[in-house]
Amino acid sequence: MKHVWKLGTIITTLVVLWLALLTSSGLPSTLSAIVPYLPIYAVVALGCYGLAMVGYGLMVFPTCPTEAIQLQQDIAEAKVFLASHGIDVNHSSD
Amino acid sequence: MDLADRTVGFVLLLFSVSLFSYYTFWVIITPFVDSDHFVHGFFPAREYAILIPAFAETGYWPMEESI
Repeated sequence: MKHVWKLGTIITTLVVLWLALLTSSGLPSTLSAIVPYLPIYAVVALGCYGLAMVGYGLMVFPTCPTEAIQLQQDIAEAKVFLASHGIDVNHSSD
Repeated sequence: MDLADRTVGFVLLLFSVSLFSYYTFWVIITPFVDSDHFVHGFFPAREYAILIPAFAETGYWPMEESI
């Protein structure tokens, strides 16, 4: 099953469950005060989760300093090689 | 650069966790608390729990448009 259909099925089920809770009369007053707020709460929670994942990813992202130095050396080596073969390495092409 | 990225990431993480905790407490826990308890002073009326996210997330600021 395609991912969008799976997602749609899950969302539809949750919406139907929420509507059933909203229209049921057997709920204690505290729970029936929470039910109308559940969709917007889900959206806010999803947003906070996304922001937290971005922040966490920024914190643990590896910078690879040895590979950066190696890359600079490779670039210098390539420039020498190409210059010695007559290719202009200092001006950008169109 | 490395440390700047890490601090930005940490600030984002902290902000999102506190926003989530405050909003959870506001929407889910305050209905269970007696209406004369002091914590209700920390939260605005519960209608704003829908109004503020709705306006913030759709990017619609009717108050600013009237300026």
